[in-house]
Order: sequence, then C-alpha cells, then structure tokens
Amino acid sequence: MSSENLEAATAVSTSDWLGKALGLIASAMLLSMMALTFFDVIGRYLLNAPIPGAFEITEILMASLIFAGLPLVTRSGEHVSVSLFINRLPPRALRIQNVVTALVMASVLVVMTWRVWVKATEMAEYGDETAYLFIPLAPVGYFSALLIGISAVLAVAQAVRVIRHP
Amino acid sequence: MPSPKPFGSSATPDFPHLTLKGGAIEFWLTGIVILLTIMFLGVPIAFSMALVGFGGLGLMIGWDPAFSMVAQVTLETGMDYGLSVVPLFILMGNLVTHAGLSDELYGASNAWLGHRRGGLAMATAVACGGFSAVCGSSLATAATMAKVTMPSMRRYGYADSLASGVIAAGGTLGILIPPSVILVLYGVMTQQDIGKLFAAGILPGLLGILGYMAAVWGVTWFKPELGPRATPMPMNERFRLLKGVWGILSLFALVIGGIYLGVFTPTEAAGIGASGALGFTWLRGKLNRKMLFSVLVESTHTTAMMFFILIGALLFSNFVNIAGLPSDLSDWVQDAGLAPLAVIGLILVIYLILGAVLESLSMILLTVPIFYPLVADLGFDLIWFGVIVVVVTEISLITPPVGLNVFVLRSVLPDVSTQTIFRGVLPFLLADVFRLALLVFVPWLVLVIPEAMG
Repeated sequence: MSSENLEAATAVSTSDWLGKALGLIASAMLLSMMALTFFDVIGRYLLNAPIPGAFEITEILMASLIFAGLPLVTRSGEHVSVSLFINRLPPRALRIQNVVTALVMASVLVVMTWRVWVKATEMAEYGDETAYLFIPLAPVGYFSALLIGISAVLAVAQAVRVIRHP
Repeated sequence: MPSPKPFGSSATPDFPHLTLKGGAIEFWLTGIVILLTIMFLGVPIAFSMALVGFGGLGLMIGWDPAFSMVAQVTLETGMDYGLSVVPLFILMGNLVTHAGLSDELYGASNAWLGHRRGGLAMATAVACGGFSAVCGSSLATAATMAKVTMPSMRRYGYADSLASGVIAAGGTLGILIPPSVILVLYGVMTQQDIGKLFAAGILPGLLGILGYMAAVWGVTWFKPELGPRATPMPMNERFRLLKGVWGILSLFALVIGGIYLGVFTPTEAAGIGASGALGFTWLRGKLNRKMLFSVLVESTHTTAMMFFILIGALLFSNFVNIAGLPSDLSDWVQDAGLAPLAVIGLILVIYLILGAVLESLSMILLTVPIFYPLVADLGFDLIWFGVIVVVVTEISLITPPVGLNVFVLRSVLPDVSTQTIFRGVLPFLLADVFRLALLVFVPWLVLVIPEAMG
C-alpha cells in the first residue's frame, strides 16, 4: 500500500504541471466544440447564417482533444485491460508484468509517433489543407505526433518507476 | 453534411499483395490467438489490437504499407466528423450526472409506484430508463442512480440484493435508450444511420424497463419481505412531482426528437444536448469553475480512451479483413448449411462468452467488424443487429465475473458485497434473456420506429 502511495506522490510531483496543461488544452477544445456546434445551429436556424466551415473546425478540435487526452489516460493507467488473470499473479510476477506491459505500450506509441510525424511532414510537403477554410493540416499532424510521443515517454517512465520502487 | 477526407488523398498506401486470399486462415486465426493471449496477459486492449493488427498487416502486405496505415488510421479516426458526436454526448451525460436531474426522476416515479409491493425497486427501474434517455453510458447511469435510489430503498427496508440488483440492471439501459455512445460507434463502423439506430433503441429500451418491473414483481411475489410497500402519496402531490421531470423530458425531446425529425444531425444534436445540460447545471446553481473543469477533463479522458480502442480495433479489423476472415466465415456457414437464425444464435453465444471476460466497448469494437459482413450477407438488417448486439452487451454488463455495472455499484456502495449484487441481479438477467429472445424472433419490435422515419 505504502509503495503505491509513494508512486502516486512522485507521479504527481514530477508531471502535475503537464497534467494540468494538457487537461486545460483538452477541456478548452471540448468546450469550444460544444460552443461551436451550438452557435452554428442557432445561426443556421434563427439567423439563417451558419458558421462557415464549422465542421472542419470541429474535426481539428476533436483531433487535438483526443491526442491531448492520450498522455493523461496513459499517465493515470486508464487504458482498459483485462485484469481477471493478472490479479492472481504473485507480487514479483505482477511487477514483471507491469514493466513488460508498459514497454509494449511504449513501443506501440513510438511507432505511432514516428509514422504520424512522417505523415505530417508529407502533409507539409503536399500543402494539405481543409477543403473549405484552407486550414493547413500539417500542424495538426505535428501536434498529434508530439502528444503521442509524450505518451510514449510517460509509458517508459511508468516502467522505470516500477523497476525502481521494490 | 458530408465530410471531405483530408487525409489519404496525398499518400494512400496501395496494397500490392492484396490478391492474397484463401489459405490465409492460419494468418487470422493466429492473429486472434495472439490477440487473446496478450490481452489476458494484461496488455491494454487498445494496444493489443493495434499491435496484432499492425504486425499482421506488416506480414501480409509488407511493412511500408502497414506503417502508412498506422498513420492514416490514427489521424483519420481522430479527425472523423462522424465521430464528433462521441465527445459531445459523453460531455452531455457527465453534465447531466452532476445537474441533479436524477433526484426529480426518482421522486416522480416513486410517487406513482412506491406504494406497491416492490414499488421502490420498480420506480428505480423506471428512473434508470429515464436517466438513460439523457445519458449514453451504462456505468454513469448505474453510479448516478445508485446514489439517489439506494438510500431511499434502504430506509424502507428493502433487501440489499433486490435494491442493488435493480440498479445494476436498470443502469444497463444507458447504452440502449438513446443517446447511446455505443450505438454511435456501431453506426460509424457499419455505415448505418445513427438517427435510425437511436430510434431502434427506444422500444427495446421500454421493453427492458417493463421486464425489470416484472422481475421485481416476481421476486416480491415469492418474498414480499424483500420489498415492502411505502405509504401512498396523495394525487396532487404525485402530479406535482411528475412536473419535476420536465427538464429530462425536454432535453430528450430536443435531442432525440431533433434527430428523429431530421432537424439536427447527430453531432448538432449532441452539441445542443451538451449545451442544454450545461444550462440545467447552471439553472440549478450547481455550476462552478471547479466542477466544470473536472467534468470537462473527465469527458476528455473517456473520449481519448475510447478513441484509442477504436484506432486499435480499426487496425485489427483491417488485418483480419485483408486476411479474408469475413469471406472464410461466410464459406464456413455455407458449407455447414447453417440456418441464418442458428448463425445469429452462435454469434450471441460468442458474445455471452466474450462478455463474461471483456469490457463491453472493447468487445463491440473488436467483434462487430468481424461479424457484420456475415450478418448482412445472411440478409439481416444491420440496424436490428446493432440493437441485438447492444442488448446482449447489456447482459454482459451484469454477468459474473466481469459485470462492470456490478463493480461500479461496488465502488458507490462499498458496504454491499459483490456476491449480494450478483445474487440480486439474477431475476433481472432472466428478464434480459427473455427480452433478447423476443427481439431476435420479433425484429418488428426493433424496426417499427426507425422504419416510420422513412
């Protein structure tokens, strides 16, 4: 129990500013999505003036929201997993399982970071943009890659933490 | 509003080895075995599916196209306009949970049913159904209603088993009665109309409430001491309390009515619904900066988690599709000469088994891409199948050992044991199985409302 508390405490002290910042970003995106949809509908039905390209902005807001949320979910270990059998492992095996799992997650996230980054550079080269408002898409790609990368680092940190604290 | 596909236009990977068909059974079978193994070893489901999907694709079509697919699926899913309903409905549900609308709902149904034998439990079933009409999550419905209904049922001497059982079961209606996040994801994966799926959930949801009330009636018939009567309320008091539910009713009418009548797209309805829920929270003086921030953060956590399961599931389903799983399944069914309904029966058995060990959303995202081509091939309606999948998932939410609703109740009601809840849930499970059979054999019950939409 006490080691768990210690882990939680170190996790908070080392990355709380990160959690707060990402939480703020993601919340702002979600609130904007809601407000945007609301005013778009009001504008369309009451004033006959919808917000131009609202759905393109929605798409970009949503991508930012999801990728900003990923490090938060990764950090707090909220990814859904099957714990039915893991719960019965002896403590030592459980620790090994924790480390291996975190490293598997980290490697998936590293591949994603790398490929999304490559994709973003391609988008920059081709000058990809949205069809209506001509918003360039490469920054969305870079932003996503960066946040997936942060998640990968957090997953590695998780593994290191388990190894360090017996 | 159609959404243009901004990604993929510039660098769609082509799949040179796509001709690889038949004889790939060992590929997808191995894939599924590895997937289940690492999932049970505790690798998060989203990551297990992404890993196996990517690995399988790499081995079948080459690593370069597989790499491109990872980037494409990740970004396209994150930017899919059709999916923007999901965060907005999650936000709406979380706001409604904090707005205190659940109290009025239970107050009103209690006023009309409380004086009957087992009446408070019946009122709980009705209130859960009502709450499901503004909340798309079963876990949130069960957790919220538990806080309101459990103290009252205890005060009147209800047995913990009956009380917790009806909350756990009633809570499952969250994913069936619209809005429903799971039905949205089903619709996106199978290219079905979200409005029709929502409409299709209404009647089966009402049947669910009736079934749970019947279960309460049956249990208290044998053991009246489990659910004593409360004192009847005077008529004017009943009508006064009934007026209290206008908030929930108007929100439901606005959101679901708007979609049904074609006034709103689902995303617009979700945005309006979330704004409305925010308005109610404010009207009731429950809105402050701290609460709003925590609701927003909670909603983004849930959204991000779901989207990564979806991304993993899409990678995995790309792999099994290219490996020819759907056509192999159809061939098998044809060779075996199975009747279409027997196939549905088999699929439902698979769901019941998987549902006993897997979390519900992951189970649906993992299995629907595998089964729906076969089901459509056999001539079944995919709207109907969506509702059937959700109803069988509802059952899995209250089945041991991984009945998630039961565990949510455990965390809200720490002094009630898991065994007590599972024991209390049994009669409601029977009602659910009966309802499932009814919906399988009488598809009209599911399809009559969406078909009226034209």
